[in-house]
Amino acid sequence: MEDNATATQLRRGVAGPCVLALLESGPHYGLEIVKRLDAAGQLLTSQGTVYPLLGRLSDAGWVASDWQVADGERPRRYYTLTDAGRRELGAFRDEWGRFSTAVDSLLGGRQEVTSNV
Amino acid sequence: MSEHARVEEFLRSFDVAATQLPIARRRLLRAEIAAHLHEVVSPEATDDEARLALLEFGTPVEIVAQEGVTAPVKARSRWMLVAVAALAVAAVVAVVIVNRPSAPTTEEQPMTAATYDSVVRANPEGSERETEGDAFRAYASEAGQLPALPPGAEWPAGVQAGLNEGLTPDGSGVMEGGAGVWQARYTWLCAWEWEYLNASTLDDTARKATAIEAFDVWISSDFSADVDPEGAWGRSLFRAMEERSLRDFKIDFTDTCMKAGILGVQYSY
Repeated sequence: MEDNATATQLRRGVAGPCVLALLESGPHYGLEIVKRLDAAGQLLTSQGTVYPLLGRLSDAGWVASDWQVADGERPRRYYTLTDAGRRELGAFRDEWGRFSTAVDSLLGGRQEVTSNV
Repeated sequence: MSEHARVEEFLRSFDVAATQLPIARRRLLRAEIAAHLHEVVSPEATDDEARLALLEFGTPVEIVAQEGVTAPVKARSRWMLVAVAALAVAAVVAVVIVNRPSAPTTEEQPMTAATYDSVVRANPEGSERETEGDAFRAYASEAGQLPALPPGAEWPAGVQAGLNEGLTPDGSGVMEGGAGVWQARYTWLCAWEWEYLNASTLDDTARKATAIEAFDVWISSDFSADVDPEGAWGRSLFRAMEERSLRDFKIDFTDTCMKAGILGVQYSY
């Protein structure tokens, strides 16, 4: 059970980079982002916390946003990945690759030992 | 543009919770929240549908608290630090002893008015009720033997229509025996799951602990051992609580309350 709680905390830690990755495919508004994060695996503690997260990404200069209005619809604020955000995402991907490889080498090794017992 | 009353109530609570935020940030955050809730809670939604959607959304306090993490991450390596540092965070659950006020005897039907919001109330939204017949008597007897409901919940004044005849509500199937007894048990569990969800969104540690104690009562009961001999349900419930995402817990809550006839009319025991 402790492992599950740990995994939840880990997901929280990577929610920001995951939002940047979602925006790589194009502009999205808040509810779309929430649905994609939910579908990917509960990357938010609750839906509403996506907006403070988007605010922090915006403050960092990694996303830009503006209100858009379609006919007959309520205005939606669309978020777009900036060049700085794209660089940040690339850097995170590199780090995550090294990090996950290191962790996999330990966890995978443990599994192998267990299976040989 | 009209909104559901629950959404309007939420936005008023947000206005109170967000007074410490810079005005520009507060206005933007409110506009985004209002747009989001407008899409997920239609003005025609039932009260319970709206409340469930708002549970998924989180509380104003929870959202505003996230704004407190003000410093944007400057160095890219910080993301990794956040992820790794988060591994050190552990959940602490306090346990208090649940009080056991006298359980209601549904033979003396009059129910008092709810003092707190609960989906488990005298006249729940789920389906029509009837107050006579074998299933009702079994329900009333079982309700009298179960531990107390959480504050604000009250026993529905009757069992689902059709339960007495042993038929499913649409008449297409025959219920197994003991349906009234199980309706009482699932009603009790539905009430405590709702209590836990609300306590979680309010971050009320004492109420959460009381609900957890109630789940322990359920898991250690003889009837729970009959239907869940491996204890899989209990493990999944507590795992959902420890993960604190509440998604799995909400799925279980919905299933439980549907079985109790509190939400919708589907039941399958």
